[in-house]
Amino acid sequence: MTSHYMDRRQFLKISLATSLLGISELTFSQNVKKSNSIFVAPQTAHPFIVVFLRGGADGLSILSPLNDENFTAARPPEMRFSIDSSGGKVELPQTTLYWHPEAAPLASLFTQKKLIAWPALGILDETRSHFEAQEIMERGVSFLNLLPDDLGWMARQIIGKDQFQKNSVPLFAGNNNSPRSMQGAHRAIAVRDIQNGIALPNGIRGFNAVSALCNADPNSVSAPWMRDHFSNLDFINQTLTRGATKPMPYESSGITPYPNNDPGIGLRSIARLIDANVGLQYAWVDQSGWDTHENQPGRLNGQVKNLSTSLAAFAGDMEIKKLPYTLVVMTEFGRRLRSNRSNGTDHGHGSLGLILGSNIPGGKVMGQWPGLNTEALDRGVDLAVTTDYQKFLNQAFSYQKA
Amino acid sequence: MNIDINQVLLRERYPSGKFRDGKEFPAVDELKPLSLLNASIPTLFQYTGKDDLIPPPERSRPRKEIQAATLIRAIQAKSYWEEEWIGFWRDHFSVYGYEQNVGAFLPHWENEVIRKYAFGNFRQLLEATSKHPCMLYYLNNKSSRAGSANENYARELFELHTLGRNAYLNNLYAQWREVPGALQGKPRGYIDQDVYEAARAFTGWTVADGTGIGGGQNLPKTGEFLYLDSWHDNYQKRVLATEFDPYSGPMKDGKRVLDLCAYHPATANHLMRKLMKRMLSDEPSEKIIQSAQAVFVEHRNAPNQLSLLSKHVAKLASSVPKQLRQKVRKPMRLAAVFINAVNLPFEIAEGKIMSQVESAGPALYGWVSPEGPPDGLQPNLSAAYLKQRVTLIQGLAENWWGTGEWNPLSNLPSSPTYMQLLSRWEVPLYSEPRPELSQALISSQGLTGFEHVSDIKMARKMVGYLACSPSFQTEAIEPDFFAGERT
Repeated sequence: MTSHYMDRRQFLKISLATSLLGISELTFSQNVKKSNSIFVAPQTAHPFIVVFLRGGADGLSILSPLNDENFTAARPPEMRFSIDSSGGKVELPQTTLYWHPEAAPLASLFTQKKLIAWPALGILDETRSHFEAQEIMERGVSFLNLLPDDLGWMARQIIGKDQFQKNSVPLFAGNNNSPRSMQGAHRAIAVRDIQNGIALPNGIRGFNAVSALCNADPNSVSAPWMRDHFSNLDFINQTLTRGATKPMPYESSGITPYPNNDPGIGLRSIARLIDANVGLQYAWVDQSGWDTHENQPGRLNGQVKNLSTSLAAFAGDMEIKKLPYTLVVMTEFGRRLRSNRSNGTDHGHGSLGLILGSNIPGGKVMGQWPGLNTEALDRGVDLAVTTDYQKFLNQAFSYQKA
Repeated sequence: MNIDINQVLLRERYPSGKFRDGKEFPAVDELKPLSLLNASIPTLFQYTGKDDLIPPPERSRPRKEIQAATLIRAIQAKSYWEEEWIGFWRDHFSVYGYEQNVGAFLPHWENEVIRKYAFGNFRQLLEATSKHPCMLYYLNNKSSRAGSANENYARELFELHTLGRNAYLNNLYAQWREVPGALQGKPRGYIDQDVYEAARAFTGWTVADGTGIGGGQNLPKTGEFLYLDSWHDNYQKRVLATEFDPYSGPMKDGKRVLDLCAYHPATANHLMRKLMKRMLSDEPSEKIIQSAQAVFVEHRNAPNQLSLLSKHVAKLASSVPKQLRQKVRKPMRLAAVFINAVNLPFEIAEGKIMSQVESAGPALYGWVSPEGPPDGLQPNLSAAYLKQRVTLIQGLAENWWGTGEWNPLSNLPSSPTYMQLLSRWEVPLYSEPRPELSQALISSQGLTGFEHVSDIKMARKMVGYLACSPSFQTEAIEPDFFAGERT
């Protein structure tokens, strides 16, 4: 492995004894010397997948500290689930965390030692902006003041290689929008659903027509993108198992079928490419809808259900097919400990990460639980970040067969 | 092309089903006029489904009508500049129309907020967005009340609508006094404390949707904006280093926040950087941004501020060569250019074209999160979008969705050769001869070019291909010095 991690700064949680009223006395982040550690991902031995929960997922509701009186004081009963309805629990030295009722499939993966849970995960930067926090995580930096390049971190890994093999799809996103993590890489393919194939219209003649036009029109700014995308799409299309007229639908080999929603559809596309052995190194899938400023409990039921079933389907599929992989779930930030009067929560800091994979020591909680006392909260209001997302990713990368 | 929007029909089709109370509604399959484009807010309120009077499948009708009308507008537009300018403000104040409560009011939002103020005054536009049910529902200010205010709107007001994230200094400063300039009343940017306080300022800005307000009383059910003093946090606040007195009067706090945000220097910079990228080039020069900024600030109180700005930006655009101003055509523009180039007698009635347009790029009112659809080449030409863009052109050319048959042999000798056919369409499609494209296309099909075209369907297919080149994906937006002034 040719990885080199630049300047990995150990995170130091600065906790000041303060009350909520004393919030204006907090004087930390501007005094902390900042170094922009740049995330350099290693060449992977097997596919590495990021499932990104867009909007800032409330980690405190997915794996919930229901016994903590700070939690019950900050969130009225309608903003919590009952211990009885929980999907399972996880004991930590300091507290007990309960899986959301709809996260029962995750609780089950956890007890089967196939899943690592990582609470209080996030970025070290103090931003509460979705778009800054997402950019930090997708560009692979610690803050945005000085960017090393125009690349996303997945693109950075691929671009660094002299020439990757012609017939390979190193970067794939199971969304129609190309994620920022792949920004700058012409060869990054973004297609949410490949269930019905991704051929251009009019078959081989249509493909030939468009290819010829791309070659004859090299001065157009879109020419390189079209050329790379269409040759990749064509390559992927050729790998799909075909029926009489069109590609056969792909199904999970496991017990849980892929749900027909996000992130399940994107994960199904990724599974299919892994199965087709196209040289996939990194993949990305978004699940949007986590920005729950209003009506959080009802919305989270759906969000957590879709996430859990999708992950269970993917894990089962890979396990039966004996395909190696590592998958992480992360989000830009967590949400405010105290709920608002719209039955929602506003932007916070620490959240939750998950690691799944063929080669992980599952059934563990990693990281550090900072607690929910006011002194332990970030800026007196939010779950602290005790693990930087880069450390989390590096840990996940270490779970590969030698 | 001349299409009278009042004569346009769009098919509405859904199976029978039941309302929440169990009452049945019948199946519908009919061509209906676009009757909601100018509907009032109380009429559109019924499409939120709050009263359960309109069958659920029909509740997306306001969104579908505005999407269809926008496609027709794109086809008929005299000025692409004008439509892009309007599109910029639509995307800047992006709302997600596939959410029922937002989608219901879209026609009113499009006409009475976006189009009404796109060439007007920014401060007025900002206030119009803040009070419209689309925004109040979308960013949840509708339910924000004193106690623990909902911060969603206030945060995006600062970050997206006005000052911009470059002016968000939260990672640097934990207290408002530390923000440079704050003690002189001119803070260089904002921090979370400003968001918290601004959220308090907008408490009570809500929608009259029949919600109970205590004491057995309910708000009226009109869907219109309403200020509810009993939900407002009336105590003193400090926003952008400016002190607000307690009990300053109805809506005074919120309007003051809008003033502070609209007129902050960071806002002019944020908006002009983004606008120049949209109208001029993916990489506008700092000089151009500053020039636009100066005009934006100079006319900040003028009722036609944005019209004056448009003229100025048109002048700036004229000074940049076309090859440096290439912007990806939005899916509707892509379709419109092809339709006009080949004189396609466009028919939208079956509506099948709409889903094809929606999936060829970020859809109109289809971006979930409030930063709005991304601008620039790479995000708009993802593999999935590119494939669909080719499909869109080919489907229009070959009439896969009942959009109309056109004559590829017009102005050609009878039984033309492939070379004659393609040469005839180069200029309509590209505004200049592109023989190298025709030649490449002919070779790719194993032809010499001297074969005669015998089949009109094959002719349409070939001309469709011709519009699938890289060059057809982008264009330099032609500056229009009279944008917003035509009736």
